[in-house]
Amino acid sequence: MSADGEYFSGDYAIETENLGRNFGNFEAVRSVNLKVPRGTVFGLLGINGAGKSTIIKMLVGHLKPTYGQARVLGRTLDEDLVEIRRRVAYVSENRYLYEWMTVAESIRFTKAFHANWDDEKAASLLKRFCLPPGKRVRQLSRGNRARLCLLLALSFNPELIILDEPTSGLDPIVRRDFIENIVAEISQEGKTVLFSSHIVEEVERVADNVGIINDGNLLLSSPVDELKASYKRIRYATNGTRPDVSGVAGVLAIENGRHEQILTVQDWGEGMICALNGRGVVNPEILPMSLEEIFVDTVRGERERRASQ
Amino acid sequence: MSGKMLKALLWKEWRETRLKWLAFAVAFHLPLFIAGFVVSFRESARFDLLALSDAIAGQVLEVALVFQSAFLITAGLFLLAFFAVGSVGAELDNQSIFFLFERPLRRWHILLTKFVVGAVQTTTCVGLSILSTVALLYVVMVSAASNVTLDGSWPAFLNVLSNGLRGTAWTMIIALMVYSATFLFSVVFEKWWIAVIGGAVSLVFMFYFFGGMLFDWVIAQAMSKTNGETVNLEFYSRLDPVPVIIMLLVSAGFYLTSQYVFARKEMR
Repeated sequence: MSADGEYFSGDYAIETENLGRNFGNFEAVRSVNLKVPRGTVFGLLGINGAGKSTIIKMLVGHLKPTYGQARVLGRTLDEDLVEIRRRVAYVSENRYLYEWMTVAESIRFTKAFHANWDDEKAASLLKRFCLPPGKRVRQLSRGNRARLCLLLALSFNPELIILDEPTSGLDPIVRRDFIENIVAEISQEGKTVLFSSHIVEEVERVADNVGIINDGNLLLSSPVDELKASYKRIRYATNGTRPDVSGVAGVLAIENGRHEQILTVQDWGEGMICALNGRGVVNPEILPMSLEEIFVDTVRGERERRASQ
Repeated sequence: MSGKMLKALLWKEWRETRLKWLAFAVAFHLPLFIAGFVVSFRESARFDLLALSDAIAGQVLEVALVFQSAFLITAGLFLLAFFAVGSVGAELDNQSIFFLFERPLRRWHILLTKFVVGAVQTTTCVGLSILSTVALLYVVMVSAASNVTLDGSWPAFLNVLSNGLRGTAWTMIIALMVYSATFLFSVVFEKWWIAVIGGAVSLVFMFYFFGGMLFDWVIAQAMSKTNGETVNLEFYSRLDPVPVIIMLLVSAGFYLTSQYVFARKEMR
């Protein structure tokens, strides 16, 4: 492991180095090196059970890493978790609230713990979300519970907002409002947002950066634009004989059609065309990939690679 | 932790446990309720009450003090443990405690607040029930029995009350020890019902083996030196420092163990 000062820099809101977590013999998170740049929206993408929530729970101090270390807003978790919680808002998938409290009581109670509490912001969000102040939390719909959690998280002006599956269990209208309006608005204020989701469309819509996680491994982490520029599909006719392209660097997946072959490649560049031409590929067509296609092919490629080992 | 945070935490604890105060108040006055029930429905008991004299009233108060103390350190503490065992476990079980973990609070602050509120609640309810039982009984006797006069029975009442104060201190310390042990149970077991079952089973065993002995011991101490003819309140007039310190140390040990377990608890 490198010395703390060598690895961590101040440019990132979240940095992890070889962060790992085991539950008994099960490796939930394996040596994750995650960097979330300050002032960006970072989407952590992965199927259910991929390890997203475990990473997030380690970042907010609910779980201790088995190995590795993490820094949040420049501070290690062991160093000062209280200071981190002063500056970081965390909205979990389960939306922890006291059921017996009313909306107004929840706001008043939460306010007591945050010196930076902004009454005007809380009032404006209350109005915007149409939350009934006198209603008990247990009487709120799932959407309203999510909105209340968000209100409580945003009203103390945190520098970093961590949302773990924030749209889980919400209907499509609330989900869209949550992602498009809220997350985009937060990022416009210059705050950093880390949110996890298994819905690619959500991540693609608002994230500047994306990390794809599968079976506890961070398969890739990159700005969305760079990722799309780097990943391409190459389609070409095979005319009876299929060129052997398996050894070409950057080829992630090969899909065989009846009269064509489609390759998924990463680190796309003009040099790759030359390499493919050398293998007998003629007139290749370069196709852009959506984030969903990149996600599916990356996860599938990783599974095939591990199965073949 | 700032004053505002402490106030908010205390408010939350009060709101969550306010019905427990009522439950404790009812539970710890069970002998009084039973006595009231008997007097209301049995004519002979009513006759006995009405026929009381000053001297007998004083003895009734002494017996009440001994009996209430014996009740509290056996069945009363069982009730206490039953009510208190879910104090942390319930919040761990429904995961509402995560709400506090997401605030800029240290875990030991959260647990200390819960412990203090619970300890004050249980010990005061236990302790005050001795005094309130004696006081209520006295009021009933003075107002119902025509032969019991305020002037004649007042010295006996004061004597029982002053000894009852020491009994209260004893019982509160014992209650604190039982509460601390129950609190540890509540922290160890995340499912509150496991804590309740575990706590109940161990307490049942404890009282099965020691409860009767303890009850007899309290009664025997109270009857010693009087050949069983009257009550000896000398037992209550002592507050030996050694057992008090030992019990307080045991309570502190249970509490610190709770903090140790809680600090290492992971929230999955």
